[in-house]
Amino acid sequence: MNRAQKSAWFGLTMSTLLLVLVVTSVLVAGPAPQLSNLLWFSPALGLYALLIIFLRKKQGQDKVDIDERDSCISRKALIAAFSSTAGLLIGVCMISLFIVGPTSSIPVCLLPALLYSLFVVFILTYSVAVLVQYGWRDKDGEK
Amino acid sequence: MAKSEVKNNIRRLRFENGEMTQQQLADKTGVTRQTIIAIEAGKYAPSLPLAFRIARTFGLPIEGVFQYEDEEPLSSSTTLDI
Repeated sequence: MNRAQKSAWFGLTMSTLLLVLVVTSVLVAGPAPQLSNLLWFSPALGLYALLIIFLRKKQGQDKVDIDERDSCISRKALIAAFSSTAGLLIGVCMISLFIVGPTSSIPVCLLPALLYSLFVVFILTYSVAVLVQYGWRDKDGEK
Repeated sequence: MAKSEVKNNIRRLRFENGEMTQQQLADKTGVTRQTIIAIEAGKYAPSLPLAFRIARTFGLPIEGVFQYEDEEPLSSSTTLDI
């Protein structure tokens, strides 16, 4: 398992955990999201970013860490992540326009909630796309 | 549209060249062992520069290592519409 796969597994785990926490928080706090509940996740996101940087750090000087196949997989995963995030953003904007109406207002605390959701969906999609392309259970055996 | 794929003899060539390991071939061609495994299994078609590096490692022309095969080979009756 190489660095990209390790960070993808980590991203998948953390994104799933964050999604569960957000859904639980919304269910506990009620339908109207509380800004304080969302700010509570900021340290978790910071820790998450630091760990991803640590996992992607080059581990050896003599060995090849990333080659053309890894770059290709990463590029395709980034395209998938950007597409899904943009799709979610467009979908949320259009649905809220139809539901709330063009002249009504929404709580400002929904904007950071949207940002958190987009971040989590981006990481989730990127991680899944990387793992699918490498193969979920990459047999790393010499034959 | 005909489905096509790039096949290769890397595994056979490795064993014919002193039982070279996948890691040794990876080190000589500047890629990871996972990439060599994927190429051998036909799951990844290498770029042209990498294909040349692999072929030169074995001292062969690129056609000696990689073969491009169509599932529907051209028959002798195939004609061109002009």
